[in-house]
Amino acid sequence: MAQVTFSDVPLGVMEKIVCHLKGQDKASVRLVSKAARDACDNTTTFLTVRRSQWNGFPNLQRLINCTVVLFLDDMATLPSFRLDKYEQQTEGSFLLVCGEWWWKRADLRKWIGMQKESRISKVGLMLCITEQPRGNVDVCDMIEEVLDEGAPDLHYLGVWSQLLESVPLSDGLKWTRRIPKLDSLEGLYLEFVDLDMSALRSMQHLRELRLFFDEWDTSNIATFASMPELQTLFLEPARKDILEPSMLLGLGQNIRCLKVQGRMSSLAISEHPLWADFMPELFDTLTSLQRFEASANAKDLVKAVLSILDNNPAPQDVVIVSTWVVCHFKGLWVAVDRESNAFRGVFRSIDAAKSAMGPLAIPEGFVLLF
Amino acid sequence: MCSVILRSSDGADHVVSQEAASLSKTVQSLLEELEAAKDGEESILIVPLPNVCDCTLRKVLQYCIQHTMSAQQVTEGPTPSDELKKREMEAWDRDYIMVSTDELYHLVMAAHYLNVPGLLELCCEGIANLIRGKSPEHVRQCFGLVKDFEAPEEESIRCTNLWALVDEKEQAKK
Repeated sequence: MAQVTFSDVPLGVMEKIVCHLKGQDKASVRLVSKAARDACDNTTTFLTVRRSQWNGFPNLQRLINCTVVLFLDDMATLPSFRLDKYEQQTEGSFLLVCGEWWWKRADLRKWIGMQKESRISKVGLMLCITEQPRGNVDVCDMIEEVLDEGAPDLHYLGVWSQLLESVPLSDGLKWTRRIPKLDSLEGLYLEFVDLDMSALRSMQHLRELRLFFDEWDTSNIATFASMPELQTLFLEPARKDILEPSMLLGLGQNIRCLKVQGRMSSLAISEHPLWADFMPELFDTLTSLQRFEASANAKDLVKAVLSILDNNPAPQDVVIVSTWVVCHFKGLWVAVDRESNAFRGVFRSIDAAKSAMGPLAIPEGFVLLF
Repeated sequence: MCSVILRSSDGADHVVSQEAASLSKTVQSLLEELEAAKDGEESILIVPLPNVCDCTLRKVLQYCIQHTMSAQQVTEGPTPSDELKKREMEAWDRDYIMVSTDELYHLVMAAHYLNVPGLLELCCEGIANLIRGKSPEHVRQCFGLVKDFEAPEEESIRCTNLWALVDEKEQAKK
């Protein structure tokens, strides 16, 4: 019997097939045939453009569903942990730029200008610190240097650091003052930067703020509360004693998503043993809060949920959301990983839990890499 | 339970519950049409499927019957024990899709024609698994595809797309 040929497989089916592929496999398929290439083009929503493979700009006219273009430097130390943690939903198309090599290229700026007229609506910059600053250096000077006359308007900014033997190179950086060009910023992501929060007061459009810090000023919470559009706050305290859970009660009424986790220390705030009692109070106080997420274990909360699950809860009180088991608890919904029982978050509703699970499944959603 | 007969392209009849047959949306809509046209007669409905051969139809029905049975075992709402059943079903699916490339082709075409969403997704995942790790030439050989690019067009795709398609983990390893 002659071998079958997949050439008459409909395009819609081809698209379903290539959706299961990524990276090099998708590259191979794209080179197989015109139909395979079309299937790949139609299903590409997230592009990474690497410096070493640079051969010209992507033709976004073909990639009609693409919402994110991520220009990456070839930094082997780009930590994988950054890939899954930052989620930003956008309406319309989006562009991210990584590193000064890309940012300062005239052709890239020209391309951004052209795209902005058609599909690309937002621009982000990841500023990576690759050299150890001498003494206390003001990161504002660095930022102003890259935001020169010809630079595109910036909507998102991340300042992050290479690690040298687990020590961040940006340790010793300070952010001391307002930068007028950043007043319209929508997202800011900082790590190891000693931040004077008052410098952010003029960012009245800030919707998402992520901070990794080892020092904390008690007035910071009040600053967050004064940001009218701040919806997502991601705090990574380096030590447990920096931030007390009760401080979170002072956050603004617009906060919809709160993430707290420890990266460098296992004893960060999310290990605090009071979550079972604290969560209802937190959600009662922050009326807009839809979800609280943390990567580490809130042990008392997990224990309470497992106890409920062991006692045959009513079916409507337990919902499986992908790899999570979400259980009704004191008027809220608590998610634990169904295999490891690790704490995944507390949600006001099942819909909020579903939207937190699998950011790439959401149309127009993507993982923000900072 | 109400049964129907599904007739393959080569004339073989398969008696199957209406519930299992209705996993195929194509069959479901054909059944609705036949139901409306039968004018109150009590005879068993026969659904002709001219695009599916007996061998493939058997395999499709194996899927439909297994998934219908599994759905019946699940109680009103998902519970942790239902999760176990779900995982068993996933394991069954993995075994089910371990077929030759030829069979997979007929199965995916049948799943598409019969519009069985779960089966179609499973077939697509199975095909994707066969593609992973293979060069373009190897993929063509495996799936009987012909390179229909002109040389300059292929070169252009290679040049303008490779950057977009490099797996990050692979890059990190390098």
